[in-house]
Amino acid sequence: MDRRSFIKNTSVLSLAGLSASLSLPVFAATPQEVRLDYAYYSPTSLVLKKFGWLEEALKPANVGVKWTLSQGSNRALEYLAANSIDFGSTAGLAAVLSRANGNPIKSVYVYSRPEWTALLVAKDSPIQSVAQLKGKKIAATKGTDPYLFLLRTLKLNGLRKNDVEIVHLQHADGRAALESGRVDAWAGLDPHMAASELQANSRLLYRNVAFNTYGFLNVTEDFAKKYPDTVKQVIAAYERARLWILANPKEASQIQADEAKISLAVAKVQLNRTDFSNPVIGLEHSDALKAAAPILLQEDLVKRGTDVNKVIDELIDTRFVQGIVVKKAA
Amino acid sequence: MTTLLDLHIHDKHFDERVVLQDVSLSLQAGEVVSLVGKSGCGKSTLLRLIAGLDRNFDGRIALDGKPLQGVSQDVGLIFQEPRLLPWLTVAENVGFNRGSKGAANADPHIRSLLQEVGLIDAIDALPKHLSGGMAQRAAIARGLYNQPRLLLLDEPFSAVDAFTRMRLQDLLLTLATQHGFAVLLVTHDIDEAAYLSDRVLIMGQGEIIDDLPIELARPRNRHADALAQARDRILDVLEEIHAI
Amino acid sequence: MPRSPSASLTSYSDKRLVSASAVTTSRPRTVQAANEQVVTDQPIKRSKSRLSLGWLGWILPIALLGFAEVAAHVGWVQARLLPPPSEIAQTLSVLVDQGLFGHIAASSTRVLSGYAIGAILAVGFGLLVGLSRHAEAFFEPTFQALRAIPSLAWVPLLLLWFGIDETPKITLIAIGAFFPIYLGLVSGIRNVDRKLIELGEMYGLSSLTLARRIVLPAALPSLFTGLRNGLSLAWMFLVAAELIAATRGIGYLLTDGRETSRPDVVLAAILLLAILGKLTDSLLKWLEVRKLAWSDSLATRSV
Repeated sequence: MDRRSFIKNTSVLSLAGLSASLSLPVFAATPQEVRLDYAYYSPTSLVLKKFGWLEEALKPANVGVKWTLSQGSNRALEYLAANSIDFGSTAGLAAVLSRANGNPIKSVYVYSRPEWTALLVAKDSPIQSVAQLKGKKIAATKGTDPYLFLLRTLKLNGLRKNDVEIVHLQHADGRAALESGRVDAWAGLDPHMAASELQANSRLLYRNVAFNTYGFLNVTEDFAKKYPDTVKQVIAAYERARLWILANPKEASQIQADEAKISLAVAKVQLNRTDFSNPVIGLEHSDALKAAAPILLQEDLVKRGTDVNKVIDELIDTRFVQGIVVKKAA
Repeated sequence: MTTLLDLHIHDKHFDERVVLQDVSLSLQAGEVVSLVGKSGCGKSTLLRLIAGLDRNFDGRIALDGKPLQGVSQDVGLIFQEPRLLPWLTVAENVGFNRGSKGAANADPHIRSLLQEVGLIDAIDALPKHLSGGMAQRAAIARGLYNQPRLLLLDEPFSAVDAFTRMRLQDLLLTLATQHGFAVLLVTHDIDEAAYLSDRVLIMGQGEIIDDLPIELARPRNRHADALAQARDRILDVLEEIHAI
Repeated sequence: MPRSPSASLTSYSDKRLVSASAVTTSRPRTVQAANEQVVTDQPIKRSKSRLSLGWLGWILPIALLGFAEVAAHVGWVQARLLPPPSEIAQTLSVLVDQGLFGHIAASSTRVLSGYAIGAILAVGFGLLVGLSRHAEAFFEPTFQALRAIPSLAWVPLLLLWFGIDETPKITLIAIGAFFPIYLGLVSGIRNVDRKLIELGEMYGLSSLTLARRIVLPAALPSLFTGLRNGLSLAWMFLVAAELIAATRGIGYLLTDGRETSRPDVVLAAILLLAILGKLTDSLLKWLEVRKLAWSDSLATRSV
């Protein structure tokens, strides 16, 4: 560009930069709309959506709310990367994987600590141990916690992902494949997992709560930078939903059943193995992820030479949960 | 001279339209006969009936006294377009119906025919590389492969230029003399009819109106007065038909 | 003065024919001889222009790749959205270590099997429908309806019927390949010049022989077009097929890249699909050129 327009452009940019740093109310620090996801593996999101508390909180500032269903961490991460949603619900380790591969997201809140995944076999399956899975077909959704759970379980039993045949199916399809006998095992996810246990009598072959990596609420870096106040408001709304769930477990199960279109019994199983007590993202979660992260390198899920610990440090953003006080369980 | 072809078409119609009615014709062995007439008078239809392509008529066609039932090896038909099969070489086209007895271009019969029509150098050429005149020569060679007794030609030279046409006319005469087949030629060109034929049959509206013998010795001189007179006679008859 | 008719020919573009003896040494003195020359007679010019056109095709891909590389480094495009070609090349070399050729083999096998099955069925049905009025009336309406169904719509159905192994994948690919080949053959048969068929009748050929010796060769150009279209569709349907829970293959790599946020893997897979598609098409094209050298069309024009 020529000198005149160059000068003009830099002046405009400087002015804008100056105003932004002074946080003049003239430049809007709120977006027109907040786009969130909701998921059947995030009961908090379902409660929040149902009661409309976020819409309520944002109405005075004239900010709209848009909800999109995520069918798994893999989908939520994809939508975040494409900037189709501002907030996405994923498993912790899945977020690490995605961030390591270039997805500019920040984990800002822990919406639950669930035991939401395990390895299942069909009710009449002859398979009694993980070692027997060698060479067998296992359904798992790539890029999600069940998939990573599977890999870590295999590793524990001396197997690698190439020692089995992992069939990539979304969570609901994986369940169908297990129950119709097309696969030998399934890395399941609640509520589908609970439903399979109750309705088809599928058996949990292996469970390990430590191999579950929390439910993280992620936000795009861009959104967090531009609208930090809105992020705080979203978290505040999530807090309201979380506390309501703690106070009203029966009703929460009912909402889960209605929204996820599952039976009340299944919803209860799912919520019983979900811990809503600590939303403050911090060292506990960072340590857990760092312990789990090596699997990403071992199974070539991230590029060789990636410093996963650094990725985890960059991923977890504790700024927005300051000020939340967690009551210790009685 | 023996009667080679003898026919009587009582009636030939397409749907409601009568195309031929009470048409009688006979050809001697080795005769060259032209069939002239206005477009739509039925001459091409008549040819197709004799060739056996159309058996839907009321009448009788006999070759050498024996009735013709559809197509026959003794009767060849040369169309207006060469209709060579584009994926076969000239030799393969000429010998289309020979069955697979080795390479076509080694077949002595095919080679001799191509020599006669002047195409021996193009023996392995594909039809797309031939000019109009050459393609028609190849079609003639093909038509002669089964040594027919009677060669039918439906305006065979109308699609080539004047000079090529003259050469092809001479070729036809040479071949007819050499191989001894009779010729029944449908043509629009009165000069051609006069130059080639022993007799000219003039058709009009589904019937043969006149039968003009042309008794001039061959080879005929294209510039001779006698030829021009024969031509004029044909023209007179045609004008008479259309004045009615 | 009787003159034996002769045809003077200067040269042919068909290499089999060129021989010194075919060339007349005397310059044609009469207009008649000149009229008998062959249409094409500039073989040298043709091969030169073929050569100069060949490398033109490389300009666009190389330019695009160069632009993508520069754009990523300079920052016009975010590298995480469009990784530069250099990164994709590196990804490819890593993939090779991780068994890329196994994936390529798996995909290629699926495509070739599906294509072969689809082609055989298409030629069979195409012949039937093209040559028989009754078969046409019977099958055509159904086929036209089936043809309208897009590939991905078949996926849930095939999953349900055949499960998640090779069967539904190869079936899907066969479906994809079927219709262009079938249509190419039927249309080729329907458009055969009636004049050639009449020629066959003059020879007293039976319907079957007529079909074999005249109709089919005449329909070959159209069939080849169908074969090439069918092949490109087979590759497309391959990707859809490998979305059905594949454990190996290029489509599998594609979903893997998608689910683990690896756009470089996604692009590497796309690049491989493009290359393999082009290679197989070139093979068919080579075959087509050989089999259809006789065809007198714009594509085979030498001047």
